[in-house]
Amino acid sequence: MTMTCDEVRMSLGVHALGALDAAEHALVEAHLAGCAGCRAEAEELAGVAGFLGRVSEEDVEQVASPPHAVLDRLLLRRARRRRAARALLGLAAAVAVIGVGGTVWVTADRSAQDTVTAASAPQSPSGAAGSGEPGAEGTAEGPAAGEDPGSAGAAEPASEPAPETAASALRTASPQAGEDAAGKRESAPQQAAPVPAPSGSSDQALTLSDAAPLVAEGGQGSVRARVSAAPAGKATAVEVVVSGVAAGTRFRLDVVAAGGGRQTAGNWTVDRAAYEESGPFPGSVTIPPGEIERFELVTAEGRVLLAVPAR
Amino acid sequence: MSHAGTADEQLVRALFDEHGGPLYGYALRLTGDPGRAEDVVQETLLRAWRHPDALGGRSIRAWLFTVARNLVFDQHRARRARPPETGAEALAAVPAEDELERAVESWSVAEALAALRPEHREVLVEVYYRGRSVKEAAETLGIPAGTVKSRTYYALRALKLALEERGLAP
Repeated sequence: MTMTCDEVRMSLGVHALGALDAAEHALVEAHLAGCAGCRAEAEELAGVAGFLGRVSEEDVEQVASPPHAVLDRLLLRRARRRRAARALLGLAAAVAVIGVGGTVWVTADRSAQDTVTAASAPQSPSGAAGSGEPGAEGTAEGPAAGEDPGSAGAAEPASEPAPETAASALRTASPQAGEDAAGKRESAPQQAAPVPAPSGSSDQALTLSDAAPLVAEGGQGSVRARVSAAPAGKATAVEVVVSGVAAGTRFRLDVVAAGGGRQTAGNWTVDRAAYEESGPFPGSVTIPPGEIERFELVTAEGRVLLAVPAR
Repeated sequence: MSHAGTADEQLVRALFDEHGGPLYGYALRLTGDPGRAEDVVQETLLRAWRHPDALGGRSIRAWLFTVARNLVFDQHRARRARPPETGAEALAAVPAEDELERAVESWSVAEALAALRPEHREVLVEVYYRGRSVKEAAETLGIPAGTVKSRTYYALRALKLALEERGLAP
């Protein structure tokens, strides 16, 4: 019995894998001995089959089904990093809701339901707020120092706002510039609408006289906050409007006094989509407006999203 | 929320889709532990994401494998009580390139197999990896013996193309 080329070809796959039974193997070999075309084909397939030994069946399965949980975790982590970086700069943008000279606070009714008024309950800042340096918090979600010695300080993807730049810009905002800008804000409060800030941009802190509500704004990346503080009896009413923070994010506003004291004005949950403004969220502290050095937007996890100098 | 964010996300998705499988397989082989392997994959992709510039110029796959291998190696070293010996490090470094190249290649083979149509992969698994005869494979797969033969033939031809696409010429 002999085989035609077509029959042989169909057997060459199994032949290359060495799985033909003895009888068929002999027939195929006999054909190959006298047929250069089929022999070439057999050699080619044997070459392909040679690669199979490089991997195991399990290897193939693993490649076919990578753990998607890893991707999910990565995306989540990345999103957090992005938010944190943006947040750091944002506060300067948040406030101008208040009119001048002790006008009525626009706030109180609307967000009352999700307001936990932590009025005057001094709350020690958790972890991240310790240094008081906004720049120090910029990478709170970032890599642990030294984890990547070979490329420490290598550039983040261009899309990542640079927290350090932004933070230092905040710190260097001068009072004069602040007042000038404050004047503009007052006459044109619409400017307070969130503007997509390019990476590294920042806003000046705004300062009004003690008699008028203190208004300060900040932004980093897309996170922005506008804070105001005004005397209300013996306390200071504080109000914050935020944008660029994911809906559902829980945060608090800490008020830091020039002397180092710190109080939490309130805890709230961002109730609007990130691209919209959430708030104003009302709270209060006992630090007089004139003694406020900065505001800090801090997440429930204790991460400083944004620091806004008051002056 | 921003275009940048979206592009950023796309990058990691692309990295994962393109390299996640082989990288995981490699990490699993190195660590022998699925949980640790996942961590290694995550950390490796995170670094690639963070340093996209590092990916230029050479094979991304090789870069990823190198990072993964170093992560595993560093972990391993950190677990040992004694400080690293320079001699051991030097020894480990010498075969690394060669070994990495082979690993990258092997995982490309696995990837090529994974990319085959299921019926092609299936028949190769039965006949080659599980060592079944044509008759046994036919029974297991519920197809005629002749089909096992022709499928094996076409599977190998498809695999040849898949290997060539990955720069592996049989």
